[in-house]
Amino acid sequence: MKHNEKEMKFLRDEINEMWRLVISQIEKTKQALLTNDVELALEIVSLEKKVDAYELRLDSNCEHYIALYNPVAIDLRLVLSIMKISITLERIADYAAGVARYVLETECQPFTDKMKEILKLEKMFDILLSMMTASLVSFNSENAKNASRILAKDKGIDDIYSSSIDLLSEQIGKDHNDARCGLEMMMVIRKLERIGDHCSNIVEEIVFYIEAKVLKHKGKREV
Amino acid sequence: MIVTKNINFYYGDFQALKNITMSMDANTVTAFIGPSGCGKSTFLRLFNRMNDLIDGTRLEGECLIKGKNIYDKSINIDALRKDIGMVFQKPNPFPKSVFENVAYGLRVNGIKDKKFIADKVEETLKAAALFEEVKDKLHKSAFELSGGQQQRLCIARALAVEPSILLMDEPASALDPISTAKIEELIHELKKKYTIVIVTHNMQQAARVSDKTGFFMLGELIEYSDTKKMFLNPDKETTQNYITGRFG
Ligand SMILES: Nc1ncnc2c1ncn2[C@@H]1O[C@H](COP(=O)(O)OP(=O)(O)O)[C@@H](O)[C@H]1O
Ligand SMILES: [Mg+2]
Repeated sequence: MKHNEKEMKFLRDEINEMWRLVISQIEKTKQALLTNDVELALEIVSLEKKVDAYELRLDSNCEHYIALYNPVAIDLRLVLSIMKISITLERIADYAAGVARYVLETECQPFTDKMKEILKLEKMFDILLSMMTASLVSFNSENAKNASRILAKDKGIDDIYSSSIDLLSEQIGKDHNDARCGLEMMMVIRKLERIGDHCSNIVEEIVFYIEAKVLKHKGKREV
Repeated sequence: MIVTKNINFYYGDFQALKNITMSMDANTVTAFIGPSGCGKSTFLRLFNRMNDLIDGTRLEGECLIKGKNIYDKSINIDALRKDIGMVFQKPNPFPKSVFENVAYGLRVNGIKDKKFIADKVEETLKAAALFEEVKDKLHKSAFELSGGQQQRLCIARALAVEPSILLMDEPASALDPISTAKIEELIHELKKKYTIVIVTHNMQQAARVSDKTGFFMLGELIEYSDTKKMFLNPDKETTQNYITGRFG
């Protein structure tokens, strides 16, 4: 392996580690929220610093790669996409930690089984996790063929999100005393919806890296 | 501005260029890149008929400049070379003063008006971004200048006779980074008035100075596209392997 290839492999390995860490943060967040596990929520919040450190390191390592090796063509697209993906992973981890903080700090009753059911919380997490995992596979195998399928999953998240708005506003309408808790729940769901959007951005970066196509701001239907 | 159609070129039995069809626009910088020996210089030298000077060579196909086939019998070669300036890898000033190097082409063309020549020399040295550095040394020998200054002097010499095309064969490869940057800056400036074709083995240089890039290999034009596209998303796998250094 040539020297610059070694350096590139190092960047790939690092983004892989960060990606897996963020996936495990989402898995833990799902567990913590659904079982109201305070211990686990604490762990998530403390691991957030580790994610931040990955982002800083990747940022500077990518800068060095560009400065020293002047990458072009697919090499350039790879480094640029790694930089953007690491920023996005950090945001995703931020939202996960935000949900964990809700578990730690809220004064509301935990989500009842019935609420979890009608808000489709578990389903939402499962879609997010499958998006995150499928995009990592796509990145590693340099294959953007399933990009449109991953992007389509985000539609599922958006649907759950908008029906949650209906359900919760109805709930708040019925029981004014509980309005604050209803809003807090809404904010949790909003965070999950944002994770879905960021995951779509990652898929767009992968398509740019592999096929040099720009999907951004084009409307996901066209893909 | 320059159009070639199905160019084949031979040194004796050896075919150095294979079926090259290409068109270069006015007021743009076109760069030729590719491994050494792939035929870049040979192709460049076709445009001012410099290959004619080499024995045993043979050309097939057409080379049109401003719509005229420059290999047509009716072409006046001196007029052609006046219209198409050339700058080489190693600066090759004449063993004369800085002033006389630039004035040379004017004198050869029969201009005698001293005031006109002096003005033209100054104007051209300014166009070559050299005037400020040499204005106190105009009558010193050109060899007293640094390598980078000598190269800009050679560019000035080429510009003095008001060509429309400037051919450059690795003009900065013998220069340090600062002189190289000055030449590259100059190329950006000059393309407003001239059509520039530059051969370089330095890909980053092609990326920095050119609007379009042609990638050659073993006498063939593999890919020709906008420089931005070439360095972000080349069409051909071979191009990608070459520019990312994956060869060998
Ligand atoms: N005067 C010559 N006589 C015979 N062969 C030549 C001559 N000049 C160049 N060649 C051959 O033609 C090929 C292309 O050369 P050249 O145009 O100088 O390549 P490049 O500029 O891309 O390095 C090479 O194989 C070279 O050996
Ligand atoms: Mg050459």
